[in-house]
Order: sequence, then structure tokens, then C-alpha cells
Amino acid sequence: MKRVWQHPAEPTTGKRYWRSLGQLTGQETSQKWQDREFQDGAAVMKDEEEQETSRRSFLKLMSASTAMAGLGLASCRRPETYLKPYSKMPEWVVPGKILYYATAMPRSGGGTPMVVHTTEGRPTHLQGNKFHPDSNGGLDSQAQASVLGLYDPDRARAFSNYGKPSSRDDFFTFLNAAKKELAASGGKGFAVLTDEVVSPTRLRLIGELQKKFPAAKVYRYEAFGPANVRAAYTKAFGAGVMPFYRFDKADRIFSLDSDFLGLDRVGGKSVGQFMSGRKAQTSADPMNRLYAVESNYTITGGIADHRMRVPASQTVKVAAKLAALIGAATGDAALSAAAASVKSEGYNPGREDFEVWFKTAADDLIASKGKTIVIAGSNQPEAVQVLAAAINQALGAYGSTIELKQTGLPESQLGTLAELSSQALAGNVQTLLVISDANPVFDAPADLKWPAAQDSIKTVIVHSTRHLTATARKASWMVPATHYLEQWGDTRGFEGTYAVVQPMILPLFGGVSDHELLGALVSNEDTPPFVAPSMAPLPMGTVEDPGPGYKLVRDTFNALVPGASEEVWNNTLRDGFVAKTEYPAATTAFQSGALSLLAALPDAAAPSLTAMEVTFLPCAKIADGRYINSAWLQEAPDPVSKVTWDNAALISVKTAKDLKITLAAVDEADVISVEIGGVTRYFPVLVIPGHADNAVTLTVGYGQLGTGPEGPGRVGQGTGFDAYGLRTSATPYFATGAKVAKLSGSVAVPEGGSKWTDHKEIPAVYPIATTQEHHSMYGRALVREGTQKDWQDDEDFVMEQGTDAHLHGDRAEKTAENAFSLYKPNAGKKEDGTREPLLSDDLHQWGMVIDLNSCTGCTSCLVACQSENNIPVVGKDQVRRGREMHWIRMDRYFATDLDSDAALNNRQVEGHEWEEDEMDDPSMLVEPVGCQHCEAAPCETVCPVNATVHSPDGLNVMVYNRCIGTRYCANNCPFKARRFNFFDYNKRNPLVEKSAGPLSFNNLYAGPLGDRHDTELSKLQKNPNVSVRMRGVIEKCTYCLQRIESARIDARAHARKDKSREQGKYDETLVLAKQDLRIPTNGIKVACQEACPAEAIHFGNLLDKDSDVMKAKGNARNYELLGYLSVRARTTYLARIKNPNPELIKASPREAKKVGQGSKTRPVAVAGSSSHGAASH
Amino acid sequence: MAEAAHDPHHPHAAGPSRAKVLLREPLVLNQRSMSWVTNRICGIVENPQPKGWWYIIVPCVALVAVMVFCFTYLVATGVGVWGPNHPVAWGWDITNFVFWIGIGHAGTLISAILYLTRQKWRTAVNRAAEAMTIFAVMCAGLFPALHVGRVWMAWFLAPIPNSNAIWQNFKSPLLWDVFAVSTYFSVSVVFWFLGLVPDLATLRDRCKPGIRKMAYGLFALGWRGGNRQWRHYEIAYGLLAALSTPLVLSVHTVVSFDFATSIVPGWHTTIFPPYFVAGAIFGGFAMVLTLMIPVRKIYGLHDLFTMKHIDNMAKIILLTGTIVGYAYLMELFIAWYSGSLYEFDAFKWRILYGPYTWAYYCMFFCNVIAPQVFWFKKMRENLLVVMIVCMFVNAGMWYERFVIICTTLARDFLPGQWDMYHPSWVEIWTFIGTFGFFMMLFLIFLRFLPVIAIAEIKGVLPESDPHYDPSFAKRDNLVAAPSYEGDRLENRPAETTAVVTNAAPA
Repeated sequence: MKRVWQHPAEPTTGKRYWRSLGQLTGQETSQKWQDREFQDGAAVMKDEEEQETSRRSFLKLMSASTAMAGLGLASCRRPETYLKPYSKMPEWVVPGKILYYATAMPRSGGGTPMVVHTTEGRPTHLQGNKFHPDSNGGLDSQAQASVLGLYDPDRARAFSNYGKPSSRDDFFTFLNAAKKELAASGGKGFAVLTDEVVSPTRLRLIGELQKKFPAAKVYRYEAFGPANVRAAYTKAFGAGVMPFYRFDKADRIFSLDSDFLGLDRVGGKSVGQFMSGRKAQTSADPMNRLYAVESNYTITGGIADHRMRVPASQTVKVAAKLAALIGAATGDAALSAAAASVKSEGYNPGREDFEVWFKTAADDLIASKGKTIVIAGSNQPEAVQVLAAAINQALGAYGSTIELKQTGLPESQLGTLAELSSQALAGNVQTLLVISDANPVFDAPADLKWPAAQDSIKTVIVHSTRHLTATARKASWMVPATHYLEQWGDTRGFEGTYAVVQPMILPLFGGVSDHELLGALVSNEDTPPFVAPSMAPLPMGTVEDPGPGYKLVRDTFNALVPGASEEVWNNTLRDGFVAKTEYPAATTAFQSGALSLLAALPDAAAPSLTAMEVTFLPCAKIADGRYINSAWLQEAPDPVSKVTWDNAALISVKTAKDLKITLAAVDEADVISVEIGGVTRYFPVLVIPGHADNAVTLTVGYGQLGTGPEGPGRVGQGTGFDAYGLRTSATPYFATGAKVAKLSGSVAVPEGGSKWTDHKEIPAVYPIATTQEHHSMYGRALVREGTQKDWQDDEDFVMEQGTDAHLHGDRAEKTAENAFSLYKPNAGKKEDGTREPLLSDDLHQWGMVIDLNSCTGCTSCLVACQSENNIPVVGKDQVRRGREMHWIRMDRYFATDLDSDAALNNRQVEGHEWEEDEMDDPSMLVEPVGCQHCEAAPCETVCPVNATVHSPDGLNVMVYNRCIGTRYCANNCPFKARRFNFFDYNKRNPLVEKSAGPLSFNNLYAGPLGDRHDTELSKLQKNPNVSVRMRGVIEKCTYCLQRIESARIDARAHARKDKSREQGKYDETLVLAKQDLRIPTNGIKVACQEACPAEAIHFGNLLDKDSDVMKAKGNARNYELLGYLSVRARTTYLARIKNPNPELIKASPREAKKVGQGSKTRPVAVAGSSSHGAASH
Repeated sequence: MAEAAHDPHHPHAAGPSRAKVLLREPLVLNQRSMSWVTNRICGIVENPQPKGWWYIIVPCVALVAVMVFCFTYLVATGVGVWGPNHPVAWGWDITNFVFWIGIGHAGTLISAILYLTRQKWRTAVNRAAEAMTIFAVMCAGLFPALHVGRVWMAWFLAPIPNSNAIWQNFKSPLLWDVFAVSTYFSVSVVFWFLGLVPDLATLRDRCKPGIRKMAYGLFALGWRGGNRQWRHYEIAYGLLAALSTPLVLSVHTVVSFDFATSIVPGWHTTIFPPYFVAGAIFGGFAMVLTLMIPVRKIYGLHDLFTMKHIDNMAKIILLTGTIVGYAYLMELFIAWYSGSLYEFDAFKWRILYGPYTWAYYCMFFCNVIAPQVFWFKKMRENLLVVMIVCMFVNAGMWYERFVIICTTLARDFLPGQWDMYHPSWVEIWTFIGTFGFFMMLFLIFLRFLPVIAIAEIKGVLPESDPHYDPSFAKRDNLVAAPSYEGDRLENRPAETTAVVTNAAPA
């Protein structure tokens, strides 16, 4: 606007200053000229108004052009998006704050009680429910990964009718009509096929169904399960009786091909119970002793104090040997007779100490009578189960270490798949309802001709949570099942405790739960059309209509707890279970008549190179194939073979040599053909030292046909090779007489059966992705071990290994800070064992201890970490390139005796020739390695941009925003714990193969042109409290920083309240001391620690001498990995202690040699010998 | 030297004349006059380039395009397009960086240290060596700049005050690297440019008016060749030489700190700084010879870049190669003597068992065995042998860095995490592309700037010597010199010099 200068008044005295004559003479024009801010000419517009707008319009134009210029650059900026706040805040839901709900995962054998972490209504992470009598809080990897299954974009999500999309209403219209028809005929021609899931509501509904349709028949099928155990115990103790092992009460355990610490789940907390007998705080603590006889190397065999490899088909013979010895010693005539009735050709696995091994083991069992467990693997036939039961009976295990419980499950009413198949083929089944995640078209024994049987059934309704399985693709109706995290349900633990399954989220794809489906079937009313719920109900909130599933479960609950009030129900939902609902103890006694099974067992010839034995095992990752579309499980390495994204045939070193297999295959595995009864399948082969000779282990579940959702899903497609085709109902777990040969050249893909779908021909070598290529420690004392005797002889035996052995002085002098520091000898050690903090936080200093004596190597921590910390999956191609992202990895080493280890060291050339003798009887050691949070962290000093620094409470923290990705920290990390995002794994889908002309390459390599992740669905699983990392940054274990911070905030928030409570009244004026802000002792559990079923991981505050972690650090077994580097790692390890039988060591040079490797008496290290190669391991 | 037998200045030549004994072998042969020197060197720039120049630069430009493509792909997609993985987080990227930095070493050594020690033979090679240094450092700089995961954040390395208020970590050798390399580069450029000023003025003065003249004139900074200017120039040059001398030692020392200050067995050794510096001089001289022998032949610079120069440089290669060999053996000895299992194992894997033993033996042969032929004068005089040995050294020095970086990382502390490293096609083509980039820059340098320092080499002509006895000239003329096309043009009037061709000597 026009501005008129307000000139000050002219002074009346003194000089007068003038600018122009006009001013001096006081001309008006001159005055005007003076007053104006802008003179004529400054604006070219004619009138005043326009002059004003001219200046403004100039500015407008300028700003407009600037804005226009900015338009082009606007795309350089990230588009801004706005979070939508709640307009009506649901109670408790605070963004970023985790809500915990109890639920349970229905599973074969026994449901897994768990606590679900939900954020803003999304389940993101699972942990065990430690209050449940069947759980110690640990959770296996398959259960951990089931949360990803909820968000699996390929899971069943739509109703379909003969492959055509349909709707829920269409299906229920059909069902309402069908059930009237069936009711009229009394259910004739109607069959239901269920899985092994133990759900009281389901059992109740099946009972009602059988009442409503008396002619209907219910069958039960699962590819692997406790069927043999159940059958044997039915014979030996009566219907419904099952054994429940109390490993915590057992001193001596003998495993007959049972992987009870791994795949043979026999109890929700059996791993924890077993490990409780091996915690060994002091060298005087008693330890249990495990003998294992097994065919392939399992994690149970890895823990065993004595292990013998015996082919699965020969287990009955060694069981009979054991039975004979025990029968003779205990005077149990029935047992001796049964043992004698086994047709045996005197099997000997080729060990000179075979006889003495069993004799000593039997003596050991007898000496501990009443405190022993003999456990037969669920893959062993009924006869072996009965024999094991008889041995247990003779040793007085029942009632002391094994509880017999009456499960009361209606075994006799349930048929088998074989029966159903023959009924169907006979034309007696017109309608079949499959309520199961099993996939019989794919996994049923070949001789049952299930696909044909299913084809002969007019109407097949498949209800499954899985992707469109082979079974579902052949079905008339596909009914998408709800995930257990979306439904009301119930289950029982192994020992029977009732647990409620409560929904965490509304069904993502509008599925139907098994209860709802069965409920609709038995209901006399028609199922009404579907009405979508108006708003998301809170799991525990009051919802107008919680749905039919809720009512069904509530009815079961009301029957179980008669007269239960609403409060009792709400408490049940809070706790997740109803206490004291375990199965009642069985009252029946052992019926030795069952032992007659043994005589009926034909003699199985010991496998030979021309007639090999094949063992079928469910996969440690994808089970029987049902988790094939779980990326976490596919990428988790197998605990023993370390293979990812595929399965492989496993064989021993000797057999590999006999078959001329390349032993030291790293990336490329030889392919073998396995032929049984005219059926041939092809598998890449991996050599596993310690496997039984002339035997092949095949893991099943892989090689499912189809692509994408029309098959095993986008994750599972093209992974692995099918072994089910070799399996018959006579040989469901192992088969003999197999012809195995190495392919010398590529072979044409056979018609039909083969799953080498993406190959034009079967190659002689197959690229395999393993996470570990070296299996020896090469004389480095990384995993330290010793026998209990070693420990008793030398309290500091742990520090007499490796580089530490070269140091002088006692343990205290050998610790890193004393032995190696130039500056602070004996720094900061306080009287009570705690240490003066090197860092500024005097309330919290975090540390971790991993007890290698408890760790089985099951990889449950690895998956838990992946779930908690948003760790991306990288795909097979990247794993092959060594770029897997797991923050905690599971190193697995095989160890032979010192002589052969030394021999190996001298010949550690890659591709060296292994001597089968030295390599086929190794022990297996595992070691989880994550960031060790070194106080003097080598990674921190080398980062040029300060992207990795130390926090005052002792964490080595990674600042993703600051990281530019020089990777120097990764190089300088001695533990190689740092992981680099070589690609945008979180953004681009690593599981897509792309092609351009003749080139085919992984999607990641397409860069900005690559596909993003298939759906937004998997993002729902992400933990909002953990940054999702972009490409080009390093990441690593943070000690679950988000949990620490959350606990710290809680401690601060509650400090006043807690202190008031101590004083008895709330006091606003209360002065808080610094100590009051400390997080309570053991107040934090990190994800891996929480998941570990063996309770091998301890985490806590090093400044709190009462904390678990300080107690563990005080253990004499404590050592620092690579302690000589003096990096002062916050994570330390407790050495492995073996408890070998001293008698057996005396009697068997082989066993003596095996345990000698951890022994201080080895002729190295202590003497400071220069033979570094041999310097201990 | 083939002519040696006839050389009257040779000590063993007939006649014990005092003058003969004291006279050194001339640095410029054939009694070339100052004007010849000017014409010869300026002629390279002023005449059309020989066909060979075109034959080389065209593929080089193509390789530069490949390199640009590879780097673009890398930045757009992620470091995963290269071969590194979890134990081997550095692969060819840092290998190539150290390789090129090493090559960039000889230049400043020749220009600074040899200048300060009054090694007059440097005048024939210093310009080309300095240019080579600058181009090599440019190639080297590409790798660390682009190997980082988030290139667009690489400015975090610069101590720029930022809103995050985070400062660099001055404990990190990588940061030292940034400063050492950038300082070295900038000082080298300034030093090189300063040396060019009188020659640029010469070129300016010989040019017809036009863009060319303007450009030379601009960069000649108004040089008139006055006494005062020369005096200032000499002082500045001397000061810069003094400034550069510690840089020669510091750059590769700092680069070696990337490894030596780490704790990785096989890297963590105190011998690295001197060993790296020796290796760099070794590799740098080899590269200078690799470039200059063809240049000498193509442009007919036999009189300026003589067999004496080649002989001297071959001797330096022999010396530094032997130092490097000593370092290799000393590393082994210390690995054993230290008693550290991990240290000794690192070398056992590197030499005896590992997957990369072949690389170690390549390195050892190329760097230690091959240069030993230079003990023999006949070998030093045989240009084919010299070229072959230099090629070996070039390859060997690359292998040395590969062995140090990749084999060490592939077999470090925990065998559970060991993995192999394989370069990807992107990495391979990037590396080949940098050779194209390097050669392209060098060829452009040949095209536009005097490859030999004209002003300086005139200083070693006999005429420049105040005590010069012209009577020697006659005897010097006795030298049977090969005649070049350019020679015949020598006495032509100045205005015809433009037709001095770049053809190879007849």
C-alpha cells in the first residue's frame, strides 16, 4: 500500500537542511515527492490501485514461477502421508504399546498355549504362556512362525465351488440343503475326516454329529503323528491311555530313535524339563544322562552323552538287546521272553564296543531304577513302543518318571484314512467333509490311492487354512478356515489342561472356523446369511454378537466348569487356560500280552548298499508340508543339515563314499535317485557325519506341485523335492530295500510324480542353499565343552582351552580385562562379583549368557528374533550368496576326537578326503551367535560416521539413519554378527524370478524396476516399535532395545506407585531415589530368551547381583567367545558339560576318545605346545 | 644401452680422460637443442594424433560408458549387485580402491621426493607420472564413494555441520582415508598444475589465436618466463614438493590403517604401513613404465625418455619388489611367531588350504619372483622383458590387495560363518571400466598437455649447465643415434614446426 512518510517536525532553531529548492520553497509537488515511498516511475501502472497490484502481482508471478519450478522437483521428495488418528479411541489401544492376550495354538498331540503380542489390533509376535501347566514359556519355531501364517497372502481366503469363486452364503445355502438330505438318510454315505487336533469343542460337536447322523463315520488322519504310540499304549494299558514323560524327574534317559527334544513333540515343556536336569550350577550338581540310539543326526542326538547310530529298521533289535539285558537283571521274565522273541540276526552297526556299550548302558539304567525313562520315537512301530513300555515297566518308571493318563479320547470311534479310502473306492462315501490342514492327495501313502478315492466321492468339502492344496484343488467345495488367531476355539495341552483359543483379530478373509462349520452341520437351524460385523470387537470387549464360534466354545466351557460365572470365564480368557483340567491318571496296569506284537514282527535285514533304508521324517521347518508357505521357516536353517529353502537326502560319510558322492559339497549338491518298489524320486544329497550307514533320511513336505496360490503358495512354490511318493501305508516312517544311486549325468524328468517342476531335466548337481559351509571348529575353542569329571578335576577347565589356555594364572587373572588390558588391570571388580560400570549408566548395564549345555540348536530363538525385530527374508538365491539376515544365527559344529581333529587340521584343504571312521561318529555342538555387545566394540571405532555407538547402559547400538553402509563394522566384527541390507529386502520381493529375453534373474536384481512385495499384508505383522531397515544399512541384534526402553519407561512411570505401595500410602511428595528407577530384577525378557524352550538364554542387568544373568555369569563354566581379543563381550557362554558314563569310558576306547576332546588331559594347549592346529578345541 | 660400447663418456671407454670419467650419461641424448625439445614435445599436442591414439580411446570411451552403467545400476539397485556377502563385506570394491591408490603413488614420489633429492632423471617422467597419479586417484575415489550402501548419504563423511548434530568418528581409519586421499588428490593436482604453468605458456605462445590459445592462456596464468616469475615459481614448486613428500608416505600408510588397525587376523599387523608404501611405489613405477614405454615408442621420445630412465625405474621396481617380498615373508614369520592360532590360521588358509591359495601364489610370483630378473642389466635393457615384468607387477599388486582383503575376510574367526566370495559381472565390468576411464583420461592428457615437462627437461640439457664445455658436443655427436623424422625437421624455421608429426621413428 501507499505509505506516506511521517517526517519529524522541522526544528525551529539551528541550521536548516534541505534537499531541493522545491523543498526549500515548500512546493506542493516537492512535498508529495518527498512523502512517497515509491516515486513516479517505480511503478508503471497508471493509477494508484494498479501501482499497488503491480508490485504485488510481481511478487505473485515470482512466487508462482518458483512454485512451478518446484513442481518438477516435488517428486524428489517423499510424498507426505498422514496417519489417521482414532476418532473414538478403543480402550487400552495405545499406538506402539503392546497388548498381551492369552490364547493357544491347536496342534497335533497337544495345543500350544501362548501369549500373543498385539499392537493396534494386529497380532505381531507370539510367546509361550508360562503359566499354563504344559508350557515353560518357550515356543518352538513352527509355533513362532504361525503368526506369519495369519498374514500369508496365499492362505485360503475365498469360498470356491469346483474351482469357481463362490461365497459364504452360497456355501451355507448348499450346506443347509445337504444337511437336510443327510438327516433324512441318517447320514448314510457321509464321512468326516479330521486331523489330530485335540479340541474339546470339536470332539463334542463330532459326538453330536454322530448322534444326528448315526450312519456317518468320522475318520482321523495326519501324515505324522502319535498314532503308533497311541495304538501301542491302547494295547498295553487300555484305550485312551497315553504316557507323559517327566524328564525333570529322570536321571537316566534312553532314547530309541526318539527326537523328543526336537520333532517328536511329547510334551509342551519336555525340553525344559529335560534341560532342568543339566543346568549344572556347580561341578557337584547332579546331571541326568542321555543315551541316544538314532538313525539320522538329530538335535537330541547332539545333546546325548552317548550316541550310537543305528538304522531305524534295526532299532527294534537294539531295543531287544537292551530289553534282554534289563529283563535278565530285573528278573522280568515277560520282558526277557519278549526280547528273545524278536527276530534278530544279531545286528551290529559296526562298532567294536557295541556289546559293552549296551551292557554298560543297561547297567546304568538298572542302577538308577525308578528314575529312568526309555522313550521310543513315534516313528518306531507299535512293537518297539510296547517293548519300550515293558522296559519302563521293568525299571519302575511308570508312576515315577512317566505318568500314564487317561485321555479319554474316543479312539475306537475314529477310523483311519486307509479305511476311508477303501470305503470311498467301494463307493460307500458320497459326501466327505475334510476338516484338516493335512493334504492327503499329496501326503497320503501312495498305496492308499487317495486321489482316486477322493475322485470317487461325489461331494468333497475341504475346510483348511492352507493355500489351495492338492486336496483342495480336487474338492467340490473349498471352505476357507479361519486362522487360529482369528477364531474362538479351545484345545488341550499334552497333559490335558484346557486352554481357550480366543480371536485376536477379525477374520482377515472372512473364513469359517472348524467349530462354526461343525456347529452349522449339527444345528437344526439353517445358517443365516452372513452379515459383516459393524466394528472390530476387542478380544475381551463386549460385542453384541460374538459369533457362533464363541457360543460353541462357551457351551463346552460351561460343561467343563459347571456353574462358572462370567468372572471365571473372563479369568480363563485372561489366563488362557483352566487350571486342574488335566487328564486323570490312568488306573490300568501294563498288560504284558501286548508284547506278543514283537514275535509277529518280521525280521528286517540290516540295510546294505544295494538295499538301503529310507527314513521319512517331517521337516524341522515346514513339518509335514503344511508350513511350506512360511518364509521364516523356509529360511530358518535346518538345525543339523543347515539347509534352507529345500530338503535334501541325508547320508553318512561312509555311504557317501560308497556312492561316490562329493563329500565337501558346499553350494552344489550331487543328486541321487531313490527307488523303492518301482517308484523313483530324485533328491540332492547332503553328507551328515553321524548318520547311520546305508540309510537315507528324507524330509517330507516339499516338492508340492503348482505355482502361487494355486499350489503351495508364492513362498513354497518350487521348493524341495517330494518324498511322499515313496511312502506306503506299510512303510510310513521307514522303508527298506531301497536302491540309491548317484546320478552321473542329467536325467529326463519322469512322467507325473516328480516335483522337479522347474527343470527340463534332472541335473546331476543341484544348487543348494545352506547357511553354514564349514562344520569343523578347526581347533578353535569356540564351543567349549568338557565332562563333568573334567570340571570336577579342574574348576577352571573352561579357561584351559583355546588361547586362554596359554595364559598364566587363575580364572580371575585370565579374564579379558585382566589378562589383556594395558590400562585397567583388575578394573572395577567389586567384592560382590559385580563390576564397576565402564559406562555412565549406574542403574542398568545389560548382559547376556547363553548356556551351551542347554541349547539344542532348535532355531526357535532365530525365528522369534525374526518375528520381534522385523527381520526380512532374503530368499534362496541370497542365502546361497551368504546374505541371510538373521540377527542370531545358529552355528553348528561337528567334533571328532582330538587325533582325528588334528589329522583334519593338517588336511583342512577344502574338498579333503574324510576318513569315515573319524568322521562318522562325531559329536555335534551348537552355538547361537548374535551381536555380543562388546564394551570395547571393534565395530564402533571403525565406523567413519558414528553410526554405531555405545549406549550408557552398555548396548552396542546401531543408528540406521546415520549408517551409510561402508560395511567396515561388519568386517571388523570378530563374531560376524552384523548383517547388511544388500538389497531393499523389505521393499522388493526376493522370491520372484524375473526374466528379460534369455536372461533370468532374481527380482532383487531388477532394482527400481523390480516388483514390490506381493501384498501389503505382511506389513501387518511388523512390530511398530522396531524400524524397518532400508537397503544399504547394517543391522544386528539390539538386545531387543524396544523391550528395554519399554521396561525403562514402565519403571519410571510406576516408581512412585511402587514406592508408595511399599510405604503403604500414596504420597505425592515422595522423593524418589535414583535406585527406585531401576527396572526390577529380571524384569525384561528379550525375544530369543523368551522363546527358548530350554531356557538356555539369560538376560539381565549386570549391576543387579540378584539377576539371573549375574548368577549365570558366576558359573565356572562362563567364558567369553574369542576372549583373547579383549573386546569385553557382554554376551558370554556357559561351556557344554557332558555327563558320560565313567564305566563306559573305561570299557570303550572309542567313547573315551570321544569325550577326550573336551578333556583337560589332552596333550595340548596347557603345555603351550606350538601345535596350534591341534591346540584344543 | 646398446650404444654404450661406443659411448665416449662411459668410464670403461678408451682413454682415461678426466672429463670423460666425470661426465655422467646424458639425460637427453643426441645433443638435442632446446628448440628441438620444445618442438618435439609440443608437436605431440599440436599435431593430429596417430591412429593408435584413436584405436585406444574409442574402446576406452565405450568402457567408460560401461562403467557409468555399472555404477548407475549399483546405486539404483543396491550393493547386492556386487559379490560381497556376510563374512566378506568388502570385495573387489576396496581391492580396486587400494590398487588404484597404490598406482597413484609413483607420481608424487617422482615429482616430490626425487625433486628434493635432486634426481634429475625425474624430469622426463614426472609429468606423465603425476598425470597418472591424478587419474589413478580419480579411479580409486570412485570405489569408496560408490561402494557404500547409501551413496546419497555419503556426504555424512564430510565434517559438515548438520541438523543431526552428529560429528564424524575421527577414530575411524576410513575417515582418515577420506582426508588422506582427498588431501593427496588436491595437493597432487595443484603440484601438477603448477609444474604445467611454464609449459602451458609455451603452448599458448605457439598457438594460433583461437579457443586453444585462450584456454592455454587462461591456465598459463599470464606466465611470461621472467626472472622474478621463475624465482617465485621455483620457491612455490619447492614448497609444494616439501608438502607432497609426507603425503606420499601418508596416503598409503593411512590406507593400510584400514586394515592394520582392525582386529581381523591377517589384517591386524604393524608391518602394513611400510609394506603398503613400498608396494605402492612398486606398483606405481610399474604402471609408469607400462604407460611410458609405449608413449616413448609411439611419440618418438627416445632421446628424452632414455634407457637410463627405464633402467633407473627398473632398479626401483626391483628394490621395492624385494621389500614387498620381505614383508610377505615377515608376515608369515610373525603369524607363526606370535603364537596366535587365529593369526597363523589366517595365513594357513591363505597359503595352504584356502580356496584362494592360487591368488596368493599369483601375487607372490608377480610381485616377488618376476621383478628379480631386473638384477640383470640385459633384462633391464630389453623393453619387452621390462613391459612383461611391469604387467606382472600390475597384476600382482592387484592380487596382493585381493589376497589381503578377500581371503582374510573369507576365513576369519568363526568357521560357522565362513563363506566364499565371488565377484559379480557388475563388479568385473566396473573394474574393467575404470581401466577405460584411466586410459581415456591419460590419452586426453597426451592430446592436450605436454607429456614431458618442457621447461624442466631443458634444465638438464648440457646448454643449461654453466660449466658446459661445448667441445664435448662434438664428441657427443659421435653417438650413433637413431634418426627420427622429427630430427630432420629440427633445423627448420620455427613457423614450420607445426608439421612436426607424431609419427613413430622410422
